[in-house]
Amino acid sequence: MTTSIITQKMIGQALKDLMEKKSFQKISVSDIMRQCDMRRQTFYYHFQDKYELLVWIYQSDTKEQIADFLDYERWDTILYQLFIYFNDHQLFYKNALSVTEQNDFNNYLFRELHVLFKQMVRDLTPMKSSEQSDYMARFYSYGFVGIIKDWIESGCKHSPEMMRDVVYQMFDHQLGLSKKESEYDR
Amino acid sequence: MKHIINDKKIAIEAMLHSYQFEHQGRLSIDLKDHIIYYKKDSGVSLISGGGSGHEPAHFGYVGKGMLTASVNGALFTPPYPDRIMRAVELTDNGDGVLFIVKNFASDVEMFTEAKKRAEASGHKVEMVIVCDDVSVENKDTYSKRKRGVAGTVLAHKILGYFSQIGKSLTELKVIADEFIPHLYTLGVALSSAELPNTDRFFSLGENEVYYGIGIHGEKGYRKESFESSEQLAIELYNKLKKLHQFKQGEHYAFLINGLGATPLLEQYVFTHDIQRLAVLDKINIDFIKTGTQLSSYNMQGISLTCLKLTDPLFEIALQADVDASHW
Repeated sequence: MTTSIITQKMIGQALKDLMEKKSFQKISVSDIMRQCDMRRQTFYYHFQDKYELLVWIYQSDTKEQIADFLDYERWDTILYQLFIYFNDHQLFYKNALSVTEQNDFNNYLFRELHVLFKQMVRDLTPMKSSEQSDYMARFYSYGFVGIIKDWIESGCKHSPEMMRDVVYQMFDHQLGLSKKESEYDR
Repeated sequence: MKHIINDKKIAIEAMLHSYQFEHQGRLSIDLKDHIIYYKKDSGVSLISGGGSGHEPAHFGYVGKGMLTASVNGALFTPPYPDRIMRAVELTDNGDGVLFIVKNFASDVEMFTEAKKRAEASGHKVEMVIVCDDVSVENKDTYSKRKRGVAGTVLAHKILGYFSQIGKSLTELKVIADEFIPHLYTLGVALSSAELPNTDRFFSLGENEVYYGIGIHGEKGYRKESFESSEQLAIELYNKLKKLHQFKQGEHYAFLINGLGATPLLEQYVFTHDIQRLAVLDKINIDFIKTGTQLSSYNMQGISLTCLKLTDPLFEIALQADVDASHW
Protein backbone atom coordinates (compact mmCIF):
# COMPACT_ATOMS: atom_id res chain seq x y z
CA MET A 1 0.00 0.00 0.00
CA THR A 2 1.31 3.45 -0.94
CA THR A 3 1.67 5.90 1.90
CA SER A 4 -0.83 8.73 1.81
CA ILE A 5 0.26 12.02 3.37
CA ILE A 6 -3.37 13.01 3.96
CA THR A 7 -4.07 9.72 5.73
CA GLN A 8 -0.99 10.39 7.86
CA LYS A 9 -2.34 13.86 8.59
CA MET A 10 -5.72 12.38 9.56
CA ILE A 11 -4.10 9.95 11.95
CA GLY A 12 -2.00 12.81 13.30
CA GLN A 13 -5.08 14.95 13.76
CA ALA A 14 -6.73 12.13 15.74
CA LEU A 15 -3.74 12.02 18.09
CA LYS A 16 -3.80 15.82 18.40
CA ASP A 17 -7.51 15.78 19.27
CA LEU A 18 -6.98 13.07 21.90
CA MET A 19 -3.98 14.83 23.39
CA GLU A 20 -6.06 17.92 24.09
CA LYS A 21 -7.73 15.89 26.84
CA LYS A 22 -5.43 12.98 27.68
CA SER A 23 -1.72 12.55 28.23
CA PHE A 24 0.31 10.94 25.46
CA GLN A 25 1.25 8.01 27.69
CA LYS A 26 -2.40 7.08 28.21
CA ILE A 27 -3.29 7.00 24.51
CA SER A 28 -3.07 3.74 22.56
CA VAL A 29 -2.92 3.12 18.82
CA SER A 30 -6.45 1.69 19.06
CA ASP A 31 -7.67 4.94 20.65
CA ILE A 32 -6.11 6.95 17.83
CA MET A 33 -7.63 4.82 15.08
CA ARG A 34 -11.04 4.81 16.75
CA GLN A 35 -10.86 8.59 16.90
CA CYS A 36 -10.26 8.89 13.13
CA ASP A 37 -12.58 6.01 12.26
CA MET A 38 -9.96 3.94 10.43
CA ARG A 39 -8.80 0.36 10.72
CA ARG A 40 -6.02 -0.29 13.20
CA GLN A 41 -3.98 -1.90 10.42
CA THR A 42 -3.95 1.43 8.51
CA PHE A 43 -1.90 2.91 11.34
CA TYR A 44 0.84 0.37 10.80
CA TYR A 45 0.92 1.00 7.04
CA HIS A 46 2.07 4.51 7.91
CA PHE A 47 3.82 4.41 11.30
CA GLN A 48 5.67 1.93 13.46
CA ASP A 49 4.27 3.22 16.74
CA LYS A 50 2.77 6.31 18.38
CA TYR A 51 6.24 7.77 19.05
CA GLU A 52 7.00 7.75 15.35
CA LEU A 53 3.64 9.42 14.74
CA LEU A 54 4.46 12.17 17.24
CA VAL A 55 7.80 12.83 15.55
CA TRP A 56 6.09 12.81 12.16
CA ILE A 57 3.68 15.49 13.40
CA TYR A 58 6.59 17.71 14.52
CA GLN A 59 8.35 17.21 11.23
CA SER A 60 5.31 17.71 9.03
CA ASP A 61 3.88 20.68 10.95
CA THR A 62 7.14 22.61 11.11
CA LYS A 63 7.75 21.97 7.39
CA GLU A 64 4.24 23.06 6.42
CA GLN A 65 4.37 26.13 8.66
CA ILE A 66 7.87 27.29 7.74
CA ALA A 67 9.67 25.68 4.77
CA ASP A 68 6.57 25.60 2.55
CA PHE A 69 6.05 29.33 3.10
CA LEU A 70 9.65 30.44 2.45
CA ASP A 71 9.03 31.56 -1.14
CA TYR A 72 5.50 32.70 -0.48
CA GLU A 73 5.57 35.03 2.54
CA ARG A 74 8.22 37.25 4.10
CA TRP A 75 10.01 35.99 7.21
CA ASP A 76 8.08 38.31 9.57
CA THR A 77 4.71 37.03 8.31
CA ILE A 78 5.93 33.43 8.68
CA LEU A 79 6.99 34.04 12.30
CA TYR A 80 3.64 35.64 13.13
CA GLN A 81 1.80 32.72 11.50
CA LEU A 82 3.91 30.39 13.59
CA PHE A 83 2.81 32.10 16.83
CA ILE A 84 -0.83 31.87 15.70
CA TYR A 85 -0.36 28.20 14.82
CA PHE A 86 1.13 27.23 18.20
CA ASN A 87 -1.48 29.32 19.99
CA ASP A 88 -4.27 27.44 18.17
CA HIS A 89 -2.69 24.06 19.00
CA GLN A 90 -1.28 24.89 22.43
CA LEU A 91 -3.06 22.10 24.32
CA PHE A 92 -1.56 19.46 22.06
CA TYR A 93 1.94 20.96 22.11
CA LYS A 94 1.95 21.54 25.86
CA ASN A 95 1.09 17.92 26.35
CA ALA A 96 3.56 16.75 23.67
CA LEU A 97 6.44 18.73 25.15
CA SER A 98 5.98 16.88 28.44
CA VAL A 99 6.87 13.58 26.72
CA THR A 100 10.27 13.69 28.39
CA GLU A 101 12.17 11.15 26.33
CA GLN A 102 11.77 13.27 23.23
CA ASN A 103 13.86 16.10 21.94
CA ASP A 104 12.56 15.96 18.40
CA PHE A 105 10.36 19.04 18.69
CA ASN A 106 13.45 21.21 19.30
CA ASN A 107 15.35 19.53 16.51
CA TYR A 108 12.72 19.90 13.80
CA LEU A 109 11.70 23.40 14.78
CA PHE A 110 15.36 24.43 14.90
CA ARG A 111 16.08 22.88 11.51
CA GLU A 112 13.24 24.74 9.75
CA LEU A 113 13.86 28.03 11.58
CA HIS A 114 17.53 27.91 10.73
CA VAL A 115 16.70 28.02 7.01
CA LEU A 116 14.21 30.84 7.60
CA PHE A 117 16.61 32.95 9.64
CA LYS A 118 19.44 32.35 7.19
CA GLN A 119 17.23 33.83 4.51
CA MET A 120 16.24 36.71 6.80
CA VAL A 121 19.83 37.56 7.73
CA ARG A 122 20.90 37.35 4.11
CA ASP A 123 18.07 39.71 3.08
CA LEU A 124 18.60 42.23 5.86
CA THR A 125 22.38 42.24 6.22
CA PRO A 126 23.79 41.25 2.84
CA MET A 127 27.27 42.46 3.90
CA LYS A 128 27.81 39.55 6.27
CA SER A 129 29.93 36.60 5.26
CA SER A 130 28.10 33.31 4.97
CA GLU A 131 29.84 32.10 8.13
CA GLN A 132 28.68 35.17 10.10
CA SER A 133 25.15 34.81 8.66
CA ASP A 134 25.07 31.18 9.67
CA TYR A 135 26.08 31.98 13.26
CA MET A 136 23.46 34.69 13.47
CA ALA A 137 20.80 32.36 12.05
CA ARG A 138 21.74 29.65 14.54
CA PHE A 139 21.69 32.16 17.40
CA TYR A 140 18.18 33.34 16.48
CA SER A 141 16.96 29.78 15.88
CA TYR A 142 18.11 28.51 19.28
CA GLY A 143 16.60 31.58 20.94
CA PHE A 144 13.36 31.32 19.08
CA VAL A 145 12.91 27.61 19.85
CA GLY A 146 13.37 28.43 23.55
CA ILE A 147 10.94 31.33 23.44
CA ILE A 148 8.30 29.21 21.69
CA LYS A 149 8.71 26.37 24.19
CA ASP A 150 8.49 28.66 27.24
CA TRP A 151 5.49 30.40 25.74
CA ILE A 152 3.65 27.11 25.07
CA GLU A 153 4.50 25.82 28.55
CA SER A 154 3.17 29.05 30.07
CA GLY A 155 -0.16 28.28 28.38
CA CYS A 156 0.50 30.97 25.74
CA LYS A 157 0.06 33.62 28.41
CA HIS A 158 0.69 36.48 26.00
CA SER A 159 -1.17 36.87 22.73
CA PRO A 160 0.48 35.89 19.41
CA GLU A 161 0.38 39.59 18.50
CA MET A 162 2.33 40.54 21.60
CA MET A 163 4.85 37.76 21.00
CA ARG A 164 5.23 38.92 17.41
CA ASP A 165 5.86 42.50 18.51
CA VAL A 166 8.46 41.43 21.09
CA VAL A 167 10.33 39.33 18.54
CA TYR A 168 10.14 42.00 15.82
CA GLN A 169 11.51 44.63 18.20
CA MET A 170 14.35 42.34 19.12
CA PHE A 171 15.29 41.74 15.50
CA ASP A 172 14.90 45.38 14.71
CA HIS A 173 17.26 46.26 17.53
CA GLN A 174 19.77 43.54 16.65
CA LEU A 175 19.76 44.05 12.92
CA GLY A 176 19.70 47.82 13.38
CA LEU A 177 22.88 47.42 15.42
CA SER A 178 24.54 45.24 12.84
CA LYS A 179 23.56 47.74 10.15
CA LYS A 180 25.23 50.53 12.18
CA GLU A 181 28.30 48.33 12.62
CA SER A 182 28.66 47.71 8.94
CA GLU A 183 28.27 51.44 8.28
CA TYR A 184 30.94 52.09 10.92
CA ASP A 185 33.25 49.51 9.31
CA ARG A 186 33.02 51.35 6.06
CA MET B 1 4.40 21.05 -30.85
CA LYS B 2 1.48 20.16 -33.10
CA HIS B 3 -1.75 22.18 -33.05
CA ILE B 4 -5.09 21.32 -34.67
CA ILE B 5 -5.56 24.59 -36.53
CA ASN B 6 -5.37 25.80 -40.13
CA ASP B 7 -4.51 29.48 -40.35
CA LYS B 8 -3.63 30.94 -36.93
CA LYS B 9 -5.21 34.24 -37.98
CA ILE B 10 -8.68 32.81 -38.40
CA ALA B 11 -8.63 30.17 -35.65
CA ILE B 12 -10.62 32.33 -33.18
CA GLU B 13 -13.28 33.09 -35.79
CA ALA B 14 -13.57 29.42 -36.70
CA MET B 15 -13.96 28.49 -33.03
CA LEU B 16 -16.63 31.14 -32.33
CA HIS B 17 -18.48 30.33 -35.53
CA SER B 18 -18.73 26.64 -34.79
CA TYR B 19 -19.52 27.17 -31.10
CA GLN B 20 -22.46 29.37 -31.99
CA PHE B 21 -23.55 26.87 -34.66
CA GLU B 22 -23.59 24.19 -31.96
CA HIS B 23 -25.77 26.44 -29.74
CA GLN B 24 -27.74 28.24 -32.43
CA GLY B 25 -31.05 27.60 -30.72
CA ARG B 26 -30.18 29.91 -27.83
CA LEU B 27 -27.10 31.98 -28.70
CA SER B 28 -26.27 34.58 -31.35
CA ILE B 29 -22.98 35.69 -32.79
CA ASP B 30 -21.50 38.91 -34.08
CA LEU B 31 -18.72 37.35 -36.11
CA LYS B 32 -17.19 40.68 -37.10
CA ASP B 33 -16.68 41.74 -33.47
CA HIS B 34 -16.18 38.26 -32.02
CA ILE B 35 -19.16 38.42 -29.67
CA ILE B 36 -21.29 35.50 -28.46
CA TYR B 37 -24.52 36.73 -26.84
CA TYR B 38 -28.19 36.31 -26.25
CA LYS B 39 -30.98 38.86 -25.88
CA LYS B 40 -32.53 39.44 -22.49
CA ASP B 41 -35.89 41.22 -22.28
CA SER B 42 -35.12 42.68 -18.90
CA GLY B 43 -32.43 42.69 -16.24
CA VAL B 44 -28.85 43.83 -16.18
CA SER B 45 -26.70 42.58 -19.02
CA LEU B 46 -23.50 40.86 -17.86
CA ILE B 47 -20.57 41.18 -20.24
CA SER B 48 -17.22 39.54 -19.79
CA GLY B 49 -14.38 38.67 -22.07
CA GLY B 50 -10.69 38.94 -22.59
CA GLY B 51 -8.08 37.22 -24.65
CA SER B 52 -8.94 33.89 -26.26
CA GLY B 53 -7.03 30.79 -25.24
CA HIS B 54 -8.79 30.42 -21.89
CA GLU B 55 -11.68 28.33 -23.18
CA PRO B 56 -14.32 27.53 -22.19
CA ALA B 57 -14.04 31.00 -20.63
CA HIS B 58 -15.80 33.07 -21.37
CA PHE B 59 -18.27 32.16 -24.14
CA GLY B 60 -19.02 28.81 -22.49
CA TYR B 61 -20.77 30.77 -19.73
CA VAL B 62 -23.12 32.78 -21.93
CA GLY B 63 -26.72 31.81 -21.23
CA LYS B 64 -29.59 32.38 -18.82
CA GLY B 65 -28.33 32.66 -15.27
CA MET B 66 -24.78 33.59 -16.24
CA LEU B 67 -23.29 35.95 -18.85
CA THR B 68 -25.27 37.84 -21.46
CA ALA B 69 -22.30 38.31 -23.75
CA SER B 70 -18.68 37.31 -24.14
CA VAL B 71 -16.30 39.48 -26.16
CA ASN B 72 -13.36 37.46 -27.40
CA GLY B 73 -9.98 38.93 -28.21
CA ALA B 74 -7.04 37.40 -30.04
CA LEU B 75 -4.97 34.71 -28.27
CA PHE B 76 -4.05 36.05 -24.81
CA THR B 77 -4.93 39.59 -25.97
CA PRO B 78 -8.03 41.42 -24.76
CA PRO B 79 -10.64 42.75 -27.17
CA TYR B 80 -10.59 46.39 -28.30
CA PRO B 81 -13.05 48.85 -26.71
CA ASP B 82 -15.14 49.23 -29.88
CA ARG B 83 -15.91 45.50 -29.78
CA ILE B 84 -16.89 45.67 -26.11
CA MET B 85 -19.00 48.72 -26.96
CA ARG B 86 -20.71 46.67 -29.67
CA ALA B 87 -21.58 43.99 -27.07
CA VAL B 88 -23.18 46.72 -24.94
CA GLU B 89 -25.28 47.89 -27.89
CA LEU B 90 -26.34 44.33 -28.67
CA THR B 91 -27.43 43.41 -25.15
CA ASP B 92 -28.40 46.49 -23.09
CA ASN B 93 -32.16 46.50 -22.69
CA GLY B 94 -32.16 49.68 -20.63
CA ASP B 95 -31.47 48.07 -17.26
CA GLY B 96 -27.73 48.65 -17.61
CA VAL B 97 -24.59 46.66 -18.18
CA LEU B 98 -22.10 45.11 -15.79
CA PHE B 99 -18.59 44.37 -17.05
CA ILE B 100 -16.79 41.50 -15.31
CA VAL B 101 -13.11 41.99 -16.00
CA LYS B 102 -10.03 39.97 -15.07
CA ASN B 103 -7.46 42.20 -13.43
CA PHE B 104 -4.81 42.48 -16.13
CA ALA B 105 -3.61 45.97 -17.04
CA SER B 106 -4.61 45.74 -20.70
CA ASP B 107 -8.00 44.12 -20.00
CA VAL B 108 -8.85 46.81 -17.46
CA GLU B 109 -7.70 49.51 -19.88
CA MET B 110 -9.88 48.19 -22.73
CA PHE B 111 -12.97 47.75 -20.58
CA THR B 112 -12.48 51.15 -18.89
CA GLU B 113 -12.34 52.85 -22.27
CA ALA B 114 -15.42 50.92 -23.42
CA LYS B 115 -17.24 51.97 -20.25
CA LYS B 116 -16.49 55.63 -20.97
CA ARG B 117 -17.74 55.33 -24.52
CA ALA B 118 -20.86 53.41 -23.51
CA GLU B 119 -21.71 55.96 -20.83
CA ALA B 120 -21.21 58.78 -23.32
CA SER B 121 -23.80 57.03 -25.52
CA GLY B 122 -26.30 56.92 -22.66
CA HIS B 123 -25.78 53.40 -21.29
CA LYS B 124 -25.55 52.74 -17.56
CA VAL B 125 -22.37 50.74 -16.99
CA GLU B 126 -20.57 49.40 -13.94
CA MET B 127 -17.36 47.39 -13.84
CA VAL B 128 -16.32 44.60 -11.50
CA ILE B 129 -12.63 43.68 -11.45
CA VAL B 130 -11.77 40.14 -10.34
CA CYS B 131 -8.35 39.84 -8.68
CA ASP B 132 -8.27 36.35 -7.16
CA ASP B 133 -4.70 35.30 -8.09
CA VAL B 134 -2.73 35.11 -4.83
CA SER B 135 0.59 34.05 -6.25
CA VAL B 136 3.65 36.18 -5.48
CA GLU B 137 4.15 39.30 -7.58
CA ASN B 138 7.25 40.71 -5.96
CA LYS B 139 10.00 38.50 -4.54
CA ASP B 140 11.19 41.26 -2.16
CA THR B 141 7.92 42.29 -0.59
CA TYR B 142 6.00 39.04 -1.26
CA SER B 143 3.02 41.16 -2.35
CA LYS B 144 0.39 39.08 -4.12
CA ARG B 145 -0.18 39.21 -7.84
CA LYS B 146 -3.90 39.96 -7.73
CA ARG B 147 -4.63 39.15 -11.37
CA GLY B 148 -7.99 37.73 -12.38
CA VAL B 149 -7.96 33.97 -12.94
CA ALA B 150 -10.31 30.98 -12.46
CA GLY B 151 -12.29 32.65 -9.66
CA THR B 152 -13.74 34.87 -12.39
CA VAL B 153 -16.01 31.97 -13.36
CA LEU B 154 -17.50 31.92 -9.85
CA ALA B 155 -18.04 35.67 -10.21
CA HIS B 156 -19.92 35.02 -13.48
CA LYS B 157 -22.10 32.48 -11.71
CA ILE B 158 -22.91 34.48 -8.60
CA LEU B 159 -23.55 37.74 -10.41
CA GLY B 160 -25.45 35.90 -13.16
CA TYR B 161 -27.83 34.49 -10.58
CA PHE B 162 -28.46 37.84 -8.93
CA SER B 163 -29.01 39.49 -12.30
CA GLN B 164 -31.47 36.71 -13.18
CA ILE B 165 -33.53 37.33 -10.04
CA GLY B 166 -33.78 41.00 -10.90
CA LYS B 167 -31.09 42.79 -8.89
CA SER B 168 -30.28 46.25 -10.18
CA LEU B 169 -26.93 47.35 -11.56
CA THR B 170 -26.08 49.17 -8.33
CA GLU B 171 -27.06 46.14 -6.24
CA LEU B 172 -24.91 43.82 -8.38
CA LYS B 173 -21.91 46.06 -7.84
CA VAL B 174 -22.48 45.96 -4.06
CA ILE B 175 -22.77 42.14 -4.13
CA ALA B 176 -19.52 41.86 -6.12
CA ASP B 177 -17.72 44.10 -3.65
CA GLU B 178 -18.92 41.79 -0.90
CA PHE B 179 -17.57 38.48 -2.22
CA ILE B 180 -14.60 39.34 -4.44
CA PRO B 181 -12.31 40.19 -1.49
CA HIS B 182 -12.89 36.62 -0.22
CA LEU B 183 -12.04 34.92 -3.53
CA TYR B 184 -8.54 33.39 -3.81
CA THR B 185 -6.92 31.20 -6.45
CA LEU B 186 -3.54 29.53 -6.72
CA GLY B 187 -2.33 27.20 -9.47
CA VAL B 188 0.42 24.76 -10.26
CA ALA B 189 1.90 23.85 -13.64
CA LEU B 190 3.28 20.49 -14.69
CA SER B 191 4.25 22.04 -18.01
CA SER B 192 4.10 25.45 -19.67
CA ALA B 193 1.39 26.37 -22.15
CA GLU B 194 2.59 26.46 -25.73
CA LEU B 195 0.74 28.64 -28.23
CA PRO B 196 1.04 28.04 -31.99
CA ASN B 197 4.38 29.32 -33.35
CA THR B 198 5.43 30.59 -29.94
CA ASP B 199 8.08 29.45 -27.47
CA ARG B 200 7.17 27.96 -24.12
CA PHE B 201 6.74 30.59 -21.37
CA PHE B 202 8.99 28.73 -18.93
CA SER B 203 10.87 25.47 -18.82
CA LEU B 204 10.43 22.72 -16.27
CA GLY B 205 12.48 19.61 -15.68
CA GLU B 206 10.93 16.26 -16.52
CA ASN B 207 9.75 15.72 -12.96
CA GLU B 208 9.29 19.33 -11.88
CA VAL B 209 6.19 21.31 -10.98
CA TYR B 210 5.88 25.09 -10.69
CA TYR B 211 3.63 26.61 -8.02
CA GLY B 212 1.91 29.94 -8.49
CA ILE B 213 2.02 30.23 -12.28
CA GLY B 214 -0.41 32.60 -14.01
CA ILE B 215 -2.75 31.92 -16.91
CA HIS B 216 -0.52 33.66 -19.50
CA GLY B 217 2.69 31.93 -18.50
CA GLU B 218 3.41 34.33 -15.62
CA LYS B 219 6.12 32.86 -13.42
CA GLY B 220 5.39 31.04 -10.18
CA TYR B 221 6.96 31.27 -6.74
CA ARG B 222 8.62 27.85 -6.41
CA LYS B 223 9.67 24.86 -8.46
CA GLU B 224 10.01 21.46 -6.87
CA SER B 225 10.08 17.78 -7.74
CA PHE B 226 6.73 16.17 -8.28
CA GLU B 227 5.65 13.42 -5.91
CA SER B 228 1.87 13.13 -5.87
CA SER B 229 -1.45 14.85 -6.24
CA GLU B 230 -1.57 15.08 -2.43
CA GLN B 231 1.66 17.06 -2.41
CA LEU B 232 0.17 19.63 -4.84
CA ALA B 233 -3.16 19.71 -3.00
CA ILE B 234 -1.48 20.33 0.38
CA GLU B 235 0.71 23.11 -1.02
CA LEU B 236 -2.12 25.03 -2.70
CA TYR B 237 -4.70 24.33 0.03
CA ASN B 238 -2.37 25.42 2.85
CA LYS B 239 -1.71 28.75 1.18
CA LEU B 240 -5.42 29.49 0.75
CA LYS B 241 -6.10 28.19 4.27
CA LYS B 242 -3.59 30.65 5.69
CA LEU B 243 -4.95 33.59 3.70
CA HIS B 244 -8.53 32.81 4.70
CA GLN B 245 -7.52 31.83 8.24
CA PHE B 246 -9.84 28.79 8.10
CA LYS B 247 -11.82 28.27 11.30
CA GLN B 248 -13.75 25.16 12.19
CA GLY B 249 -17.39 25.30 11.03
CA GLU B 250 -16.89 28.02 8.40
CA HIS B 251 -18.48 27.68 4.97
CA TYR B 252 -16.55 27.66 1.69
CA ALA B 253 -16.96 27.06 -2.03
CA PHE B 254 -14.15 25.42 -4.00
CA LEU B 255 -13.40 25.34 -7.70
CA ILE B 256 -10.86 22.85 -9.01
CA ASN B 257 -9.87 24.01 -12.45
CA GLY B 258 -7.94 22.14 -15.11
CA LEU B 259 -5.57 24.48 -16.92
CA GLY B 260 -6.08 23.00 -20.37
CA ALA B 261 -4.31 19.65 -20.68
CA THR B 262 -5.14 17.97 -17.37
CA PRO B 263 -7.31 14.85 -17.65
CA LEU B 264 -10.59 14.97 -15.74
CA LEU B 265 -9.56 11.81 -13.91
CA GLU B 266 -6.58 13.64 -12.43
CA GLN B 267 -8.69 16.70 -11.63
CA TYR B 268 -11.01 14.50 -9.59
CA VAL B 269 -8.11 12.78 -7.80
CA PHE B 270 -6.93 16.25 -6.78
CA THR B 271 -10.51 17.18 -5.77
CA HIS B 272 -10.65 14.13 -3.54
CA ASP B 273 -7.47 15.30 -1.80
CA ILE B 274 -8.98 18.76 -1.25
CA GLN B 275 -12.15 17.23 0.18
CA ARG B 276 -10.09 15.22 2.68
CA LEU B 277 -8.03 18.24 3.69
CA ALA B 278 -11.23 20.19 4.34
CA VAL B 279 -12.45 17.36 6.58
CA LEU B 280 -9.22 17.68 8.57
CA ASP B 281 -9.84 21.37 9.16
CA LYS B 282 -13.52 20.76 9.91
CA ILE B 283 -14.64 23.39 7.41
CA ASN B 284 -17.82 22.95 5.37
CA ILE B 285 -17.60 22.71 1.60
CA ASP B 286 -21.06 23.92 0.63
CA PHE B 287 -20.22 24.00 -3.04
CA ILE B 288 -17.51 22.33 -5.10
CA LYS B 289 -16.96 22.18 -8.83
CA THR B 290 -14.35 20.32 -10.85
CA GLY B 291 -13.52 20.79 -14.51
CA THR B 292 -11.63 22.83 -17.05
CA GLN B 293 -13.34 26.17 -16.54
CA LEU B 294 -10.73 28.80 -17.32
CA SER B 295 -7.70 27.34 -19.02
CA SER B 296 -4.27 28.51 -19.97
CA TYR B 297 -4.55 27.10 -23.49
CA ASN B 298 -2.82 23.71 -23.27
CA MET B 299 -1.06 24.01 -19.95
CA GLN B 300 -0.83 20.84 -17.94
CA GLY B 301 -1.73 21.85 -14.43
CA ILE B 302 -4.48 22.70 -12.05
CA SER B 303 -5.71 25.62 -9.99
CA LEU B 304 -7.57 25.76 -6.74
CA THR B 305 -10.07 28.53 -6.03
CA CYS B 306 -11.58 29.03 -2.62
CA LEU B 307 -14.38 31.46 -1.82
CA LYS B 308 -15.43 32.11 1.74
CA LEU B 309 -19.23 32.06 1.80
CA THR B 310 -19.90 35.12 3.91
CA ASP B 311 -23.60 35.00 2.98
CA PRO B 312 -25.70 31.82 2.50
CA LEU B 313 -27.19 33.45 -0.60
CA PHE B 314 -23.86 32.96 -2.38
CA GLU B 315 -24.26 29.20 -2.08
CA ILE B 316 -27.78 29.42 -3.50
CA ALA B 317 -26.37 31.52 -6.35
CA LEU B 318 -23.70 28.90 -7.08
CA GLN B 319 -26.12 25.97 -6.93
CA ALA B 320 -28.83 27.52 -9.13
CA ASP B 321 -29.47 25.96 -12.55
CA VAL B 322 -28.16 27.78 -15.60
CA ASP B 323 -28.41 27.49 -19.32
CA ALA B 324 -24.70 27.80 -20.11
CA SER B 325 -22.85 25.04 -21.95
CA HIS B 326 -19.73 24.80 -19.79
CA TRP B 327 -20.87 25.51 -16.23
